[in-house]
Amino acid sequence: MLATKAEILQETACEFNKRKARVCQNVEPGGSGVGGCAFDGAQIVLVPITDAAHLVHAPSACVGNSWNTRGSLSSGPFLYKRCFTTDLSENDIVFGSEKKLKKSIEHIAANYQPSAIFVYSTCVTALIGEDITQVCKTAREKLGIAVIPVEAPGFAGSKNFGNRLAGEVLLEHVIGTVDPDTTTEYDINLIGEYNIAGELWNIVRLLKKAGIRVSATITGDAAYKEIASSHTAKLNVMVCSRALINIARGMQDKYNIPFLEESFFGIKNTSQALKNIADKLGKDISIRVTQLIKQEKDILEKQLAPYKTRLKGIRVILYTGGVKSWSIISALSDLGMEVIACGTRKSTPDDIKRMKELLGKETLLLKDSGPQMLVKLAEELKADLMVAGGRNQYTALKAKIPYLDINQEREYPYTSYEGMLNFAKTLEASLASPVWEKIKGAPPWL
Amino acid sequence: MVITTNKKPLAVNPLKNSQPLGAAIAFLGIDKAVPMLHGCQGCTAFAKSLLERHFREPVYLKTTAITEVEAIMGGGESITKGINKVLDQTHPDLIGLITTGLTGVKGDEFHGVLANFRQISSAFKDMLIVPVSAPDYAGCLQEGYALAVSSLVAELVSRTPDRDHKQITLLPGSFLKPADIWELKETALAFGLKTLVLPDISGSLDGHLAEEQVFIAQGGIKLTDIPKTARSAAVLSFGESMRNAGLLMREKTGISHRHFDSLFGLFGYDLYLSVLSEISAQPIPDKYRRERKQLQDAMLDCHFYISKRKFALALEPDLLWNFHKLLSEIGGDISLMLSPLETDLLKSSSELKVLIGDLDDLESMEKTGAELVISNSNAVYAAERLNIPLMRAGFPITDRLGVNQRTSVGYRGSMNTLFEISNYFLSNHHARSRNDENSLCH
Repeated sequence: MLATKAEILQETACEFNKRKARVCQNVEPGGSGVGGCAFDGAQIVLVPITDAAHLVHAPSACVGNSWNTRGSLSSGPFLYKRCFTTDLSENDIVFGSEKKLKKSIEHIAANYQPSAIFVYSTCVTALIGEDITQVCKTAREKLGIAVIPVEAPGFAGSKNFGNRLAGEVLLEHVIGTVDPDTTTEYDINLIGEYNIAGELWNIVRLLKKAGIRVSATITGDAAYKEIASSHTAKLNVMVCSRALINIARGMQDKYNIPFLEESFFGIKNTSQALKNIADKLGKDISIRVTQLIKQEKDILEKQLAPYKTRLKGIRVILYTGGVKSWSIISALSDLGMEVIACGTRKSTPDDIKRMKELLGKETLLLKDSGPQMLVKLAEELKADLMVAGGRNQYTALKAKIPYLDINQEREYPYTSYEGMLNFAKTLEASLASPVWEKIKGAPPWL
Repeated sequence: MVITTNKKPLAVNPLKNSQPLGAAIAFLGIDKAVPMLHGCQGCTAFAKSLLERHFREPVYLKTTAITEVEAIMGGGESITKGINKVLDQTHPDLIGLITTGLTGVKGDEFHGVLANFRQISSAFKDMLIVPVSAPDYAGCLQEGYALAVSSLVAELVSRTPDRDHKQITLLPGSFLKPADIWELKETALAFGLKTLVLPDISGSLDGHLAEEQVFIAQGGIKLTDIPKTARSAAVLSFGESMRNAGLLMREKTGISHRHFDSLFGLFGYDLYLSVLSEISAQPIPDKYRRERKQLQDAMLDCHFYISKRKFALALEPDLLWNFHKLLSEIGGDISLMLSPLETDLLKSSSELKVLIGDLDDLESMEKTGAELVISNSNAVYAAERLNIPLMRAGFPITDRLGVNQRTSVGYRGSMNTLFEISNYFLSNHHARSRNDENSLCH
């Protein structure tokens, strides 16, 4: 049985649930809508299953406005990029549209060879009481493929809450339903790595060098079958995100798979992640990992040297959510940069503790800052750079502050040792551009 | 016109954009206005993100963030709370309150809630809140935009004895980009006519680096100027979807109304200039006489590449009509017109075939033999599969820079568009001489 909303909000492994202000709860009326809804969160987790079809049972806007907005890459199948929606009209809403949904599922099965079909309910279809679970069940029996209901209508909660709901769907309907073709002693699953800009591939390449096989990524560049057979892995590694902790804990309870929480962002973090994973997988891997770390670091340090000279002492405001904050602080300090203010909006007490260990005493911790506040701070603190998510890109640029995007729209992969070089190059390219003085100067006639 | 609708039970790669998006764009063309979407937080987050990706500008939207319980019981309280918070934080001149599919379903009585709110919160009695019902299960972007403009006219414009014969009111449709509106304003100015543009995204979403940063729609028509639109010598509406707003303006103010379905191509701008000349009693300025000759010359140069070529157009109705006019003027063969919505104008012409459908239908159109697709960025997959180039137009355009800064209207705009189209075939010509078939694409 799927966990109820109350159960998810009490997820024992989630530290947020011990606090008053929970990340999984909705924003206030009058807010600026920077946070997505539960439907958004569910899509973030499930759409990177690239050989599946994702059918959104809704009027046009739900998926029309969100289609193609995330840079989760695929190494092969492309079906996940196709946008399927029942595109409800007023009549469909008045008279009900379960029949339309059923026909839509059949149309997809007949024309697109999906490995599975995920069917998403949304606010409107939940409100008019469409029984998508029953429709999916009937369709599954008739068509002989997995047709999976995802009941995460937007108003159910925040984006994070939607992540959790999607995690429940995977636990309930997908994970453990297929036996893998092959297994090794060194199989691990990555959880919460969506392969934005190809970041997963950097990690997989690195782990492969150490003899570790990523058997499934839940979910990034993922085949349905991979996820379905991920229950035989030796270890689950949550990458830089606690949103899917229910999957990690669920798989521990159900299949006895231990889990770790690691980050592949920055040199120190990547090395630590490798060590911790190796510790769980046995001595052979540990020896290889020790060599690998030394080798990779030696190469990288040489490549990074010129950038480090130029980036040293750059003053940064970091404004991003949750776990990402400490892992990026660590990466920035690897380059000798200085974080002068840091957002803690989605961070747990544990995250904040880790952040404080990495930061100087003067660093400001920002709870929840609007764009106005960020710009004011940047001026007061004489920041050289803002590192933040896409929602703050124009906040920074219009204030004429150099900006680096580290969220879903980023263009380059920054994970692992090789990603660190991209990270340094991108930072330096923006900071070194003469554009900053050009846009600040007065015109000659003034 | 022969109109057919695809037979699928669902939309695959939809061409349609939703009404609330259009309504939000309209409010963003008013200085210090805040569009607030009455729905779940995600409705706003998605819309904001998409608008920012298209315009490459900061877009400030607010949400009423209704919850599951409110969705069932009615969302009046969240509107009240939301408005109070917005007033408190951003001090806007106007709030555009837009329904989404979610609240449309509930039939939340917008006006009732607002009247109630105005009573309770006497401090904000004079605060302007313009409600628009633009649910996403009906219409498309251009319709939502037009509904918002009609609401603005209904709420803010009334008859006045004052007349300014040197001023005209423009009601541009959503198919016009910021640069297009600039062109319309500049042209009017050349006849000595001031313009009031409702709404005016050329002031707010044109991409300019201001000295000071504000966190609200900046630029666009000023709230205090909106009632002054009633003093104009005439009101001009552009795009079929804006005809009703124009008619409403005429009905409410008594000023004369001229409507333009098309601004693209020679004929489209001839008509605009003639009307401006008539209103201002001024001759056509030399600049435009010259530009007209330039366009004619360009049409000659371009007809080699465009005449009898086959085009597939997949756009919202107003823009679809404009491209149809432009291409038809030099003999382009429009083998497919794909629209998300049927309109009277599309039905009016007997020789055209229009398909109401999605971008998936575009992919199955191999038999039409189209050599260039004109559509939004989402058509890139269809174009790739068809192995023909895509010229980006419409909304959203997320994979090209400078789109909103480029004029498509006016003689110059049409000239540049024709050159751009021809160049797709010209480079193809070059590729063929190198026997390199792959470079046909992009």
